[in-house]
Amino acid sequence: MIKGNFKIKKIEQNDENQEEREFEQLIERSGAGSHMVFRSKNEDDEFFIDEL
Amino acid sequence: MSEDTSFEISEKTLKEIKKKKKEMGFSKKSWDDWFQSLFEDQKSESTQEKIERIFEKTTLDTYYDEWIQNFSSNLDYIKSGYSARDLIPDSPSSSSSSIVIGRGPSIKKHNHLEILSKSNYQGTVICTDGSLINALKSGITPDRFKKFFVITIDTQERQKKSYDDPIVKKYGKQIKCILSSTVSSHTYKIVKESGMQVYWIHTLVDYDKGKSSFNYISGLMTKTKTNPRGLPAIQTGGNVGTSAWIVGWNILKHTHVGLIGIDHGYYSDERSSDDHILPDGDINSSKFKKAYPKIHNPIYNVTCIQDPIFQYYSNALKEFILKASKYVKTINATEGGTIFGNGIECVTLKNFIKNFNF
Repeated sequence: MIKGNFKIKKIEQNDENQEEREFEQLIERSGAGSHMVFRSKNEDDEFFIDEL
Repeated sequence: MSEDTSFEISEKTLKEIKKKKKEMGFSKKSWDDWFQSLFEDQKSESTQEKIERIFEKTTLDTYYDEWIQNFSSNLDYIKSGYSARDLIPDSPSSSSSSIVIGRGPSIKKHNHLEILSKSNYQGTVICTDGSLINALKSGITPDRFKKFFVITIDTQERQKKSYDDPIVKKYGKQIKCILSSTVSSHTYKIVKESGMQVYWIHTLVDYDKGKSSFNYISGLMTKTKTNPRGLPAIQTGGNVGTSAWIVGWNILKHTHVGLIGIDHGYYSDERSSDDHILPDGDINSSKFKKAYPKIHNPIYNVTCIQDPIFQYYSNALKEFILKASKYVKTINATEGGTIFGNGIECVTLKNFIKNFNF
């Protein structure tokens, strides 16, 4: 086994991440859509599927 | 300020880590740069993706149970009713148009119902449910516009109000109504009582989850001996306006689809009362400005305020219009709003009627 050391720099609280979290919370509190956007790995399926 | 943290790994692991770092092009870069790159996927989520992710969760949390309950209540009617597939023409015309009527604020601002009612438009009218009563009262009736449709996808019982007026009963027999298999049974009943012919459709929500998905299971349950293929399914884009646009070119196979009353934003502080909530907080903060942006439409020199729900809807619709431009020409005749950009032709309603009257 090999022993090593992480040299960790402490940084001030990341304002950007904090703001993103607050932004997400704001979105969550803004209501719900009446329906939802459907996504698929097959983009052709995203508009219309003739038979499920 | 720094602190030391010890770790212990095998020689083999260290060798593999170094190899991986080199393979990923980080041999001359710091360990921190490499570790940061490993988490890049999470960091690169766009605002649109973030809003979609959050609304997918909140919409499922809010409505999933209701969709299943409504579908269960409607199943007998669906099995004995018509499929929206019956509306797909065998030989689509090489040039045909429809106009989707939403209930955004521009519809009043520009007198669009009056303009359309007085026109000689020969194409198909597709009313979103919320616009139906006003459209009929404005003279946009199936007596004058023979190809007349209305659509409901929203699942709440309140949608029945969209059909609760004597004028709907007066014209009901001449109107074709497209209903999602998940609408409230109260909505279905009032539609049937008005005399409309109902055509059922599925709305896509989770089909990508495979055989355990609600879409797959409900799709299977609507297949019968007389209708072995069940119902087709459409993208809703989260709202009935986008659903109506999809119906225009995917079900009715129109080559041109126009939009009026599809603003996806407000022109003032007046807000929709349905599901749109303005949370408490500092509306001048940067997070509020990002969630409630002002969108300037340079074509009509107007500015709209969007909320997160409208961002969710409009981002998707604009993306879909561009992706579908090889199949359908989308003409936004709303004369304002937030739906403009690549793939979208913006004209006045009068010019839409003049240029796409087929």
